[in-house]
Amino acid sequence: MFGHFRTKLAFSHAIATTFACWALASAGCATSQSTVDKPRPGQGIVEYEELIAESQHGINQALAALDRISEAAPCCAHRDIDNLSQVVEHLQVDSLRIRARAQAIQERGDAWFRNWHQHVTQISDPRIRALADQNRPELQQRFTALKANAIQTRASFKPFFDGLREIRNTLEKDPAAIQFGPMQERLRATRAQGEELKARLAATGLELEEMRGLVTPGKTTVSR
Amino acid sequence: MNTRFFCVTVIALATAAGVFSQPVRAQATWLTPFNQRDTQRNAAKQVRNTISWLRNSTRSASNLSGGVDVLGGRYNDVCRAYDDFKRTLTPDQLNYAGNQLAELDAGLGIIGDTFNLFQDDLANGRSGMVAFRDLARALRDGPAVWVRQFDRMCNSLRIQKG
Repeated sequence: MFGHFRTKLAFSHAIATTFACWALASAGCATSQSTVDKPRPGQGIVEYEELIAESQHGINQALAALDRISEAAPCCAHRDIDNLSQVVEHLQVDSLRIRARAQAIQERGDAWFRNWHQHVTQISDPRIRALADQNRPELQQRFTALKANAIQTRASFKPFFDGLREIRNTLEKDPAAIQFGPMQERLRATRAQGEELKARLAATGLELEEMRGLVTPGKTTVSR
Repeated sequence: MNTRFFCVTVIALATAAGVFSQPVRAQATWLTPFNQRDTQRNAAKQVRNTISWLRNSTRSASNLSGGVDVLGGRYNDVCRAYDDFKRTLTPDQLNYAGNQLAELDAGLGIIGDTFNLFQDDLANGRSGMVAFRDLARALRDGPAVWVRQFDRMCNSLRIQKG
């Protein structure tokens, strides 16, 4: 009888301990989740603005490289062609994220906005959450304009890249090609495409600034 | 008597801990069982491994024709590992990280376009070795950018590094 009692006791201890461990572990997990990565105020918008700034910097470098080549007639120095080649390489990598973002926005459409809005409404600051809810219609409007810009930006990258690569490929084979009409025309056209791309990025930046103002406490925005 | 009291107390404390965790638990709708978390962590680790192998191959692949095949194979490995990883995600996770996953999808496609650019360069008469050098550099640097975004997405889903 005494052995049976000890068995029951051990069994009760085991059940209670197991249950306690499970509940405390779950509570611990839940508690730690409250300290894990939550969206920071403005994080998504700020990050997008940084991507735009990086891309604009890369485009400016590409345009500067084109200017150096334009001034190098009748023949390009190899260092100028190498410089153009490096700039094209860097731009291809540095623009990866912004091109991917533009493609994601284009493909997801309004789902992108809903997902973004969902994240904003999870920010810990109640003022930002309130602004995000209150200004949702206008945020949606701004997003529609942002999406249009993103689509045009993505479309503008390809001809600019293609132009840069064509110029690079031609001059690598024949540095003296710079002095001829077709290459001069290609330089002008590629330069124009680069300026258009910069303008598209700037327009996207303006929309982001407006959106940021709509979810920032204490900031007033001017409707355009 | 004391034993019974002990058991009741422990069970009561444990229940209270479970109850008071509910508000926080409700926010985290993608709580996954331990074994699923392990599966996700391992799948994420495999994605990072394939990225490392691709980047390492850009340094070791020197032969033009063979090198392109090697790099192409490594890139396909990344795509497969990433698809396998996405299949481990719950519907809530897929929803929460929808934008980030779409960007990662697009980014992987843009990286893959590098092979088309390489073929275009060859078709336009560019030196094979020079074109291959640029291909290798793009496949070294592009995936480094991509995997940083992948890690950020994993962090937001609380999929820890293995």
